[in-house]
Amino acid sequence: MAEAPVSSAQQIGWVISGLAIAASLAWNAFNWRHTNKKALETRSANFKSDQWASARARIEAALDSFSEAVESLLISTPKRSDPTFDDKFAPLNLTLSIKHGALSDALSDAQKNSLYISDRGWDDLAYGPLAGAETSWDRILSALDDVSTATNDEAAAAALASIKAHRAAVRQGIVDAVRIETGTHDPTPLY
Amino acid sequence: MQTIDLEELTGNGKVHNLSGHVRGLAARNAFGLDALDAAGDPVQVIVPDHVYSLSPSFVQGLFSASVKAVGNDPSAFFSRYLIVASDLVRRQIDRAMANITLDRDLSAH
Repeated sequence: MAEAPVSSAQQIGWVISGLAIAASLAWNAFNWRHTNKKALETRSANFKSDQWASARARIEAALDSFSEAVESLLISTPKRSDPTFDDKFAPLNLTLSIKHGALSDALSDAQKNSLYISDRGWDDLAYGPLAGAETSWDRILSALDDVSTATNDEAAAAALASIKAHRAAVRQGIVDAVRIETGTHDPTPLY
Repeated sequence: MQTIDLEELTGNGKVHNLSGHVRGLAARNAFGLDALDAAGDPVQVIVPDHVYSLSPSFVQGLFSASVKAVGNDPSAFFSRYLIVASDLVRRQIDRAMANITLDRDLSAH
């Protein structure tokens, strides 16, 4: 029995079906690649953001501890003429040095994590801005020594009071850098 | 072995912190570090336990030229200058050393 001849309409239908299948496969392949690329970008952004969140939490905790140590020193230091001055002041000074060391470490680790955190000179932020040839941290240390070596209560109190402004300068530099870095990790920028 | 004792800078233990680039340079001159660098012998540097902080700029003033004298190599510096200090102060010196070798002088403005 002879086969029925294929009509032109059938041939056109097959060609259209073939083209539709090919277009569908191409679209799916494109979509698969595009989705994978977007998913990878999202995972990278999330990972980078997680790295910053961890560094930020550590920096902020260390900064709070440092600020509290300064506050504690300002509140708890007795008058220079107090016979217990040396016994009370030395541990407060030591605590402040330890807290500043922890702050320096947290900032230094952020600096080392340059793959995920922008280079903002994190290391140097622990010392505050330069005023003349000395950083705020230099001035805090110098003021602590001035308190220790003061020969009267007034001189000691004046040196102690000066520490507050230098602490604020250290703190402000770090707070500003943290805020700017956080802005770069914001997935919904305003512009 | 030569010894440098930073106790001399503490006013009989009253001072717990050593800070400032200028004071570091003054200490360098007072201890004759240029001559010690030229001699090339090991030097012991004692930081008493009642010193809690050495600021980076002080360390830079004190040691920067000595680090440069050994090719800007911290390990060569530490093999010549044997630091005796608490862990707290030793970490401060290490951090300052990073600034020296990277030529980031915190007071160079």
